Amino acid sequence: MAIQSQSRRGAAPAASKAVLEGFKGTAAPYYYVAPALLVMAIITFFPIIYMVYLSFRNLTALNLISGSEFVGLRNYANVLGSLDSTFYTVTLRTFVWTIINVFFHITLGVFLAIQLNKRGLRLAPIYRTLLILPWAVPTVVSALMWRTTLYDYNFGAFNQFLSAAGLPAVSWLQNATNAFIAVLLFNVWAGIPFNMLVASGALKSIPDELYEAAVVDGATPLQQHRSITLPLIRPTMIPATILGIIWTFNNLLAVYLITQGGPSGKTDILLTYLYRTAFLDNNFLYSVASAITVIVFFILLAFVLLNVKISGAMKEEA
Amino acid sequence: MKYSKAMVATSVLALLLPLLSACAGSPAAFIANAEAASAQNGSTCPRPLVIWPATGDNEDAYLLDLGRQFQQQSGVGLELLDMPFDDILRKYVTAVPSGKGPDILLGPSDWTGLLGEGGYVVDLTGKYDTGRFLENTVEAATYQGQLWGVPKSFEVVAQYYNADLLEQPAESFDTLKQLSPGLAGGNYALAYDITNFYFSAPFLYAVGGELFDENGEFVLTEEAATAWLTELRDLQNEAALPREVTSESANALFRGDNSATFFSGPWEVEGFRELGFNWKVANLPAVNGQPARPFLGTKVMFISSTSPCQQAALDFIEFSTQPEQEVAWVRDVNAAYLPAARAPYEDPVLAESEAVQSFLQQAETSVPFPNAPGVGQIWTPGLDALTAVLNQGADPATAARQMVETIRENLEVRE
Repeated sequence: MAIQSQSRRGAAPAASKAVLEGFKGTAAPYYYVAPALLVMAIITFFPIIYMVYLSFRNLTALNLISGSEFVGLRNYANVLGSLDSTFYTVTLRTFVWTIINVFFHITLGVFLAIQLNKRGLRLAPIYRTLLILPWAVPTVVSALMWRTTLYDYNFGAFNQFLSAAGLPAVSWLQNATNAFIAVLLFNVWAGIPFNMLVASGALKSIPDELYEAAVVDGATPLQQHRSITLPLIRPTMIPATILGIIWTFNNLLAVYLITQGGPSGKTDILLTYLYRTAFLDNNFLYSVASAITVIVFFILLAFVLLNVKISGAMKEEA
Repeated sequence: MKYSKAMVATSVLALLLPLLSACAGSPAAFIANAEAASAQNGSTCPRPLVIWPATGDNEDAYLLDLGRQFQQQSGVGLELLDMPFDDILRKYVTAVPSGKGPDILLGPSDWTGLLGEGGYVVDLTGKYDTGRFLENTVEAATYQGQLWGVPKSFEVVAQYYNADLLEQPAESFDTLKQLSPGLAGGNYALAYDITNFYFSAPFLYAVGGELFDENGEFVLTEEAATAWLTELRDLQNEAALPREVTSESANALFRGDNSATFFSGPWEVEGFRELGFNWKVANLPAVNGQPARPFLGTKVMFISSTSPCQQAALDFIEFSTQPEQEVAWVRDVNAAYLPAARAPYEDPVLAESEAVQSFLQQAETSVPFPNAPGVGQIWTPGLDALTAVLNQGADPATAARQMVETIRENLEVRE
């Protein structure tokens, strides 16, 4: 591995440097980039700027047509200041939600990938297909399936099992703690396949010779994993982790479809809180929702930058 | 690391995605469209009318059928776009300012205040004679003295009971409490979506509670809310109701002969009729001798303020609310459909329909559903209070205080 990557690294920067030199002083690259930039400007940059603009106004459905007014930082004050400190509770819950989810996604994903990658495993393609299924089913479908056929108090499979075993029924979705565990359970289940796939890909690129050499040196399987597998899949798993953090942090469907943030907002994470603020009960508090979004954006930005700094994942290796 | 740049790009994109979700349409386009709309106000329309209905599948098919009849008469067709109920208002509010959206919106009357005050629908005050409609339904389409739509139909929640299990409907909460010991194992006296504020509100009015006064001010007291939550908790415990039921599971229990009674609206009738078991409709049970008072919800046909076909839309609305069309709706689509127009009730089809008459009777003790712009603020706090008391064993007084405070706060934030 070490030899391989060195030879690859040696060639690449030199080549790209030459290319860059060639472009210097010409307008050509800007023309090439322009179409993409234009699309980005329309579908990404404009909405973001417009949203920041909205967050300083008082736009609701009532003044969407007649025109909204500038209200300064009032929306931010409302979100951060009053409202029973709901925002802070929800933010904290979102971090807990993200950390637990991503931890299990990565560990279980890598664990399953290692199991599937063992040589001589019969029927591996079948297992792999079965394990990928949760990812293949649209979240909307699987979340509703979990809510109605597994978690339902009267008809759900979990409570049917419990009652068959002579145990009392559990309130899966109406008890705050249980409901949070219920959505976590679902989202862990739904998120493992992606990481398993990524880890499988990374494992396949590790040459067998390394393990053979390790065996000759007398390394135990545990030592092999610690000294060969983990360091070598790390470059692949770090981006997957960062993506996983962003996806999980911004996850709307799992919580929204299973509990709607309930009971009483006790399973709300930032995105469901935002969505409910904007649209539930015909609220149409567009500007308040925009303010929440801007805050969420900065939280995520800080989170990602910190993560990148710690892991050094974004550093171009020279 | 080759993937780094792609990864930066992906991360940035992923970061930006949620930001898009909070964006709304630009108001600038509206004024130009409104002018174009008023210039074109004729009885014709260069394209088929578009309607967004908050209705079920059967009714969609019937609306389209009405559209075909209307086309033969006027030459203007009708197209229908079906979407989940929860999305309709949100999409309408985004689409109309930019001149998109339907010509006609068929929706519940609690949208009236928002749509009228926000300028999303045509003001019909003085332009349309509502004399042939029931007074209550006209009021539902009226907000602060202005008429914002034409009432189409109305509905109330009532008591369905299984006549094979019960000879008489349950007259009071006490009847329900006495029922359960006599029922076979696994059967319940009652199942309904008890934590849904819409279905439990009739009993709030029975214990003397009131949500909004005549001026649209929020007037619910903690005492009334506490009494209401206490009654419901006692009912759940003493009548041994099934726990944590949803609309769907309550419906399933009632259909499966596992529940003697079920509280819901006229939209259930078609499903029950197909099953052919012996169900009947009666008034909701009383609480301490006081009648339950369900919301009287009206379906209103609104005309989009940016539609270029406003006259044609009004012509279709006029056509669709004629006695002949409304009677056919009851006969062919929903046996418990209650038209807003008066004339259809003289027709034998409605006069002899047991379901129509039962729901009409319940409507007599109903409360007009408030239609001020902030009315939506009651749903979630109501749900939260009911959930806390009925599913989590919270104290009714605490839950009531929380509910009243939250609704008041939410209404303030909006102002």
